[in-house]
Amino acid sequence: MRVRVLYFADAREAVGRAEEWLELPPGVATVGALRDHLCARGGPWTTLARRGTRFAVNRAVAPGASAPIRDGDEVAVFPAISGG
Amino acid sequence: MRTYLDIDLAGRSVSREELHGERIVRAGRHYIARTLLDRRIYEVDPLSPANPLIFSAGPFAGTNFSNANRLSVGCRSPLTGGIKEANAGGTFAFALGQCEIAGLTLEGACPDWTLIRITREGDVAFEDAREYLGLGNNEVARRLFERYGRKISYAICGPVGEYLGLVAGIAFADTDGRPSRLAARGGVGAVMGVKRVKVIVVDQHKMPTFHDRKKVMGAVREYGTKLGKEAAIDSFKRFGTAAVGDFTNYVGGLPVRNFRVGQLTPDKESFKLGGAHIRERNLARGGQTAHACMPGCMIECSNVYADEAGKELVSPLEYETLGLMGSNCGLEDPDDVARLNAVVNDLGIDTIEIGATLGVLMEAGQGAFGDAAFMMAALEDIRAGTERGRLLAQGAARVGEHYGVARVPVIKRQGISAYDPRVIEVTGISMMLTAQGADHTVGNLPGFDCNGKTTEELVAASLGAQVGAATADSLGLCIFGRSVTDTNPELIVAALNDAHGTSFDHSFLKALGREVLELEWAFNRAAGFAESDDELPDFFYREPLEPSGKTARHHADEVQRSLRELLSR
Repeated sequence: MRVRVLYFADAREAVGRAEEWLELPPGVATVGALRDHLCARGGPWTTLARRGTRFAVNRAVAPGASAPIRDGDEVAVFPAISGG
Repeated sequence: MRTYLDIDLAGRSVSREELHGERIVRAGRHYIARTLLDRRIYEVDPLSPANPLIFSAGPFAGTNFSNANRLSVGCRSPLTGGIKEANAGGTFAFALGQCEIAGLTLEGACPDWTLIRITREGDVAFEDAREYLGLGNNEVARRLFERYGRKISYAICGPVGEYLGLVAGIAFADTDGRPSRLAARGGVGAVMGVKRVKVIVVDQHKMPTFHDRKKVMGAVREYGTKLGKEAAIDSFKRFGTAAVGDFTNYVGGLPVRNFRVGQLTPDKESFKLGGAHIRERNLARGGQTAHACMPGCMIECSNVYADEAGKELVSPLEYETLGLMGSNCGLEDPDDVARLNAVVNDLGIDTIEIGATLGVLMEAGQGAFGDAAFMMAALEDIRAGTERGRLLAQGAARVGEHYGVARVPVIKRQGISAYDPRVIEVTGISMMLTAQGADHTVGNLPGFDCNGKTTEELVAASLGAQVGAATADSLGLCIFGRSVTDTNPELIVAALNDAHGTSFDHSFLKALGREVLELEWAFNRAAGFAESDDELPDFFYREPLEPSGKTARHHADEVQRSLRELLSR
């Protein structure tokens, strides 16, 4: 399964890239599994597990770690956010 | 002990009351709601001298407790007709706290324009303010520092407040002295104008006394340590509130061209009004990407935005301003927004309300979306107080009525903030339910997953956020510290008890916030508000918002029914 991952704000700064296409191994089919898969890269990637990090799938907020992802999906990673 | 000042403007006299314990703690938004309801201010014409203007500092004011120097300004709103608590950062609450003053109420009106001077000894003097009339807030601030020295703070009624424009806020000094921290919403500046109080100057003095100072300082350190470990705080510090724009644009909840669409561009790399681009541009120009709006604040979500030459354009440049004065008016470049924002700050008016107003003006065909020169000319009319300027200074609802515009994004006659309620649904419900008018700060959850959720589920989320915000607003705390405040009630309550000798348990915090909401709703009911006043404007229910295609799902009756059920449990 291939997905496009977009990194916003501090997620982008931390991992040093704006986006990437990822070929996911079998079993990585949820937002939580994708997060764990990315964190396993180690170093700055572990910051994606920080509390408050938000994920959106196909431009809709993901309901949680169990949210499914499918081939061709776009997954966005955001920092914790709140307006002023 | 703290002192509360009740200032009779007509008689130029001051009543002082000593406050102890719980009466110091129940401050800010709680004090305002309780006072305005008890005094039946809902029966008072908001633009009459009988409408009191309350300035209330929190129980930790005057210390370096991070994000605990917020100020609450309250009165009956002349914009909405309902209750109003407008919340501001800056140094004014800090200065009040350092003089051991819990707050002050302006009663009645002065016979002539007046400057109120409060010294570190607690003396109150009334001075002639005529020399400041008609000036922009930057020039007023410069003269104040020249006359009274740098170790002061101030509150300014700007030139629009002088002529009772309903977009007028009250401007307070930030940590560098700029008049850029506003109690912006609801027309509180017009109420100050009715009273002919142009300026209040308060000395900054010294750390106030506490019941157990050592323990309070321990709590200050512990709270700060916890903040330092929070990812959300780190993000605020580096990207500011503008990072919300990257999110709302991406999910399609950004106000664009008077809430016509929810996305300025689908390509995140070309979106310039968000935190990522603004940080990058500002860093390259030598601006400040982290800035504390009030003393001691470790969140530092504010910024100082620089132009191409590295010169300050404005401070701060915030998400809601970028949304309402930016994309909502068809602007795409933060430099344009910043230049307009600087003028708006000099006028001391609400960037959200004026952004909504200009969007409605463009909707009426009076100008083109994206025309920054048209917007600047409108602001200069407002500054000059021309006939058109005075009309625009009445806010989006009244300008919409004047031009017969069908699509006017207001709730209770206050401009909707930068969260399209068709997509950012919990924040939308908060703006519907609150007695404050369309104010996102009462319960903002932009990242909440709303898809497939029932009205009741979303109202429950909104109510939880509203209680937390009302608690923070009643303690002088900035809501941005919520990731620590809301998860460490024992720490907060212990600090309150150590500060003022009270004996609250952790249940106090939620009870305080809940009580605020009940008091505010009671005020608005007594002022004549009905369930139907919570409804979104009709176009949100009829027009699908591109690119999501969503329409508003939640009507006032269902939202209110869900709220009643939740409150009865």
